[in-house]
Amino acid sequence: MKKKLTTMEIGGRTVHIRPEKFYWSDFFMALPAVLILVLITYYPIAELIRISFTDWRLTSNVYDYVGFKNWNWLFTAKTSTRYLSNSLRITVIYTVGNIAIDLGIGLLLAHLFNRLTKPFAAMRALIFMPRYIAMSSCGIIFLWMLNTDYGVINKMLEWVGVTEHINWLGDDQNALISILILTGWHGIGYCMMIYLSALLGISKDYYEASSLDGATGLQQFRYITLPLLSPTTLFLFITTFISSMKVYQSVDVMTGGGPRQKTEVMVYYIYRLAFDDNRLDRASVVALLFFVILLLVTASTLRVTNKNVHYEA
Amino acid sequence: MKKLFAVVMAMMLLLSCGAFAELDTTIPEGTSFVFWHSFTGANEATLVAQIAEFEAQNPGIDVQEQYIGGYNVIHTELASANAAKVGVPALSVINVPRLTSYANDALVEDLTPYIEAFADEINFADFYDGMVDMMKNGDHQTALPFGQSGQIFYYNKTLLDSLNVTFPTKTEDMEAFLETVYNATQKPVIEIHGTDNAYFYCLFTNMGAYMIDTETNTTGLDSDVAKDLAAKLRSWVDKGYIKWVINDVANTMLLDFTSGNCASVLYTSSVYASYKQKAESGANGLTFEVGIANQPFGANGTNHQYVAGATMIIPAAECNTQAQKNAAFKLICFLTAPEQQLEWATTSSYYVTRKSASTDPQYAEAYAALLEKLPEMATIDLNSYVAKTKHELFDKCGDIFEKYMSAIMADAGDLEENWDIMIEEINDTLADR
Repeated sequence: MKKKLTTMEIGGRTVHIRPEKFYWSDFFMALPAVLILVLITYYPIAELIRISFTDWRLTSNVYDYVGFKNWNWLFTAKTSTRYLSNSLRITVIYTVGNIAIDLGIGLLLAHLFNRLTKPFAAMRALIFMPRYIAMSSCGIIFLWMLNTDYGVINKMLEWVGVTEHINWLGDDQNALISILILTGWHGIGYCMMIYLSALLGISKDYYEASSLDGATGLQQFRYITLPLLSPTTLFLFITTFISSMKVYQSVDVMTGGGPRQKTEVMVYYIYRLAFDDNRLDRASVVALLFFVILLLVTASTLRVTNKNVHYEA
Repeated sequence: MKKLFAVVMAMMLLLSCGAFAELDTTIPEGTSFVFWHSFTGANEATLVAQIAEFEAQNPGIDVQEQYIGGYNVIHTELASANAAKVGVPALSVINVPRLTSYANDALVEDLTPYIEAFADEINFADFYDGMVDMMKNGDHQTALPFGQSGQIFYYNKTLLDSLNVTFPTKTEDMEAFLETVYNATQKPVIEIHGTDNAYFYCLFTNMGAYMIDTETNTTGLDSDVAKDLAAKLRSWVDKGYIKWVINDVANTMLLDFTSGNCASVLYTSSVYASYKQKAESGANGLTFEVGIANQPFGANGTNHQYVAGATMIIPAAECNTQAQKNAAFKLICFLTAPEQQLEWATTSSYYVTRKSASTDPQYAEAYAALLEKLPEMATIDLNSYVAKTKHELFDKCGDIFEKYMSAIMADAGDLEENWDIMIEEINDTLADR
């Protein structure tokens, strides 16, 4: 019996696709990978859900099932709403800042270094190099550099006339900026390289044709480069969004969530609940809520932005 | 009749078994156990040497000492290992404030039966009362003191002598002292460790303000006396007398003190040796003599000095055998003995935990050696050390306390507003138990 064709809309055209034949051998070939995935990804999620219905403290080996008590705590307790809203707000501010820095400056640098000559290759390598250094090492170096009294940054600022030392890590406003400087310095090179490879994939014909029509450089960037980079931008946006929302290491090394929880991002808050307060039960509900938020935002971003992404170069 | 007699005899036998149920103190040959600690550098070297000495005296015991990291790392690792029920050490060092929650969660062994069973190896009555009291949970002795420290003032003795002033012993004399020294130096007189409430909490309790009122389950900082002291501290900060350090604290305070940028710092007693060495060698451009002082008395003469630093626990985890736990306790007995304590204190600047170390003539030579290296240790009266409030949320409330104190002191935040929010936040935390 012939299988029915599936009809799909792709790029405004109706396409008929014949479903592939199912082979059991394919299933068994994929099974080990699927099992590993289940074991290291889905099982922990299921376990997280289970723990969220217990009163398990990390330091205790006995626990009871308490129903929705932890969920009730999450949405009603003053201690929860106070710290949860604070960490959510800080995570969003950090994410917006980090995406703007990484994608904005990454695109700018990609344009700047979009030449296939040796000096430019060296400069590209220099910009990308921080990516090779572990974030914890970078954090410690920045910690010294940003020390209010003895840090090299404030000393350099002194040379240009800023005599009052800036409290980079102890000030409520500056602390998050300091972390953004570190993570930006660490992540820009990666975005630049991805944009560079995408820029090299854009046919020169578009630029030549538009030049003949009298388009300026800015117009070419606005109407050719940006639209044709949109799949890359979407990819970088989604990956940077997720990694920014999950920021932890730089915060842990640089500020430990301080001063006064002004850099306490979501993952740090979850860590604090689990390992400082030993409340695995409460850490689980916050982690699950965070998971749902990430999932919803990523899915809706994909849905909204997909309409404005141009895949045909 | 015979049956009744048999039943009575059997019951008596059972009861006598229960009454004489003692800890099985057997330690078979080849017992090996893991010991987690947080000491580095010279302290670790001394600890390792003492453990080697212990192993030589007890050839059947093998101690696998492991440096795990700072207190926070040890707490995380310990809790994780406990949850996983594998890899829990038989002996570990933890930070004193964590003990209450660990004891409440039955994470640690009650050491009382060990103290009784090994009575010939440990003179429990010889420990300083405040230290062992802090490590008690109800009737259970859940830890023993090792690596104890206090929160003391280091001051530039040379400078103070030249100004003909002494470090104040009462809070009420503090203002005059600060004014005199500030007028002479035009630099902050005292730098206070602002990211750990342990350092300034004592100032509040000596004035009668406690962080947790266990009877009402609310904070005792919601009082005029606490707010008045905070206002006083803030006025000293505003005048430039006090610098509230919240950034890279350890390095900043050491550099400021040893380079003459402040006359005094409020910090842990365990860095005395390194402060003294740096100041006397002129490592940072200024050579001077270091003095140390206790926290000042309160208005009504209250003199609380608090036990802080490390403590030794035997985790209750079943993954370690009773023999391993016994061997671990034997090591505790050895390391907390006066001889070892004097050697340990001379290297590390941690307090000696035994009374006899300074009073028993048999230790006179070692005690003299300690005072020769760290002469100001003699000014610390370890009998005045008392236990803090034992509450599982003490640490958490302390975090809130230090957060708002630094907002008020370091960021010039509004005192009234921040104090009220702090009170609300601590009370909410206590209510959310």
